Amino acid sequence: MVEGGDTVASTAPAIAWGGGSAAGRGSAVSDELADFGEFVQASLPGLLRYGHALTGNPHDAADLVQSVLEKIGSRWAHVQRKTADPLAYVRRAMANAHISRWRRLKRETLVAELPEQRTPEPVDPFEHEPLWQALRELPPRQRAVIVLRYYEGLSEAEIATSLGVSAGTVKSQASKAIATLRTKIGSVSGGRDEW
Amino acid sequence: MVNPDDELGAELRRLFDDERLAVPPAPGAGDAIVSGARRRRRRRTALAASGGVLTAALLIGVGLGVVRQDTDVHQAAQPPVTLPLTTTSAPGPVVVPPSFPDTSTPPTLAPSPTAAPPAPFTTSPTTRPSSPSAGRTTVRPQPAAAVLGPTGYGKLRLGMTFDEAKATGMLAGADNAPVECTTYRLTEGAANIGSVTISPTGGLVVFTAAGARTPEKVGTGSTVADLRNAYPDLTAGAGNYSAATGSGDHYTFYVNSADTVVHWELVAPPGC
Repeated sequence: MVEGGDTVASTAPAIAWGGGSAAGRGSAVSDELADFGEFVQASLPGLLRYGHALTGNPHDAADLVQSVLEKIGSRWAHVQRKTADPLAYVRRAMANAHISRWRRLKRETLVAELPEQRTPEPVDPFEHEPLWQALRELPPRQRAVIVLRYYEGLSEAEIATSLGVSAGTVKSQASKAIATLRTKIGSVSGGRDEW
Repeated sequence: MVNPDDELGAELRRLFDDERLAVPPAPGAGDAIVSGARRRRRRRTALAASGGVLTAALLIGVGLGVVRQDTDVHQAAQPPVTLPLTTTSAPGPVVVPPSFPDTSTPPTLAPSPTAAPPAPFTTSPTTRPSSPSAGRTTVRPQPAAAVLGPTGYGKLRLGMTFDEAKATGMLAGADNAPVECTTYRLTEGAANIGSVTISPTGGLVVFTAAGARTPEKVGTGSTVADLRNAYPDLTAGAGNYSAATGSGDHYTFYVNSADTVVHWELVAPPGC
């Protein structure tokens, strides 16, 4: 297991934690955390990617993944008892954390203040993707619904359960989101959206 | 669900399938998360208190990093990943510290004496009592409040060559001169300064702060409003702010989504 993380970005050193035979096998807690370490190592790239879809930028994705995983890891045994699919559990937690965080921060838009820039910044790889830009501007709950639907492939009912809202809410949020996206990409690409 | 969106749905699936969505985890990111989980757990069991205030402590040092794509910086003096149990050392400048909403409270980061093994409620960032051999993140007492800027830290100055910097005795693992921009940790530990970056041509070009503050007393945990007060000439970038030091160099402050500084640097042009 020490070198186990083949699916993980190759630059990341194997988490020494995962070394199953390592010393400190003593307590249940360290077992639990070792197990969690393996889970993190294996799931991190996927979760960061998912966070990127959810938040619209890599930095917020990293923030989100870290804060959610730390919380979940601190009660890992409990989470494992509670769910057979911890990865899905983490993704739902991320969606919810993202929504509530936005609600608390009351941020109007992700790109509210972008005066010109001197220092080189990592370029948004989707800078020229109207659809991505339009997604970024969606309110967080609408965006989450879209991500759960089209990234995760969840059904309407599953989304409702995940987010703890009614199916009706999911439906209305989805149709609002779709309508907005249609308008935005229609206008960005210059063509008229026939409907 | 919404039916007439087949085309849009296909577009969305394509977008979410795009490989550019990948975010490479920084080296050590997993360790940082596990450490964070452990701290959280300890706190909960020890205090049975909700984590709100203390989350601020996580701001420092622990980082789930996004590998920065704009620099090509190599890490020197990076000890093998040992003792991950309690180290919270952030992997140099490739760090995006966490910014959970409640961290908008500036961490009451004592800039200097982070040495005392923290009582449960201190927000001392790096150590936890049970780090018997945390060689990598050793936190030692600093005699005074740590100030970084406007030209350097301690005997280290921006623009120093590698040899000059090495001669100060403050660089850890400074065995070989850099052949490209290379980060070094300090022998005193990473409580105040996370790392310095030395370019073979420009010399010491970047100080990456940890707990240190600028002479104007801002640093990690400061808000953008604090920055504006301290630096009227503050210029905004995407996710960061810059202020001139007055000597041709600048501070760059990286902020989280709550407009709180999570990380900052003292940088000499042109950097790396």
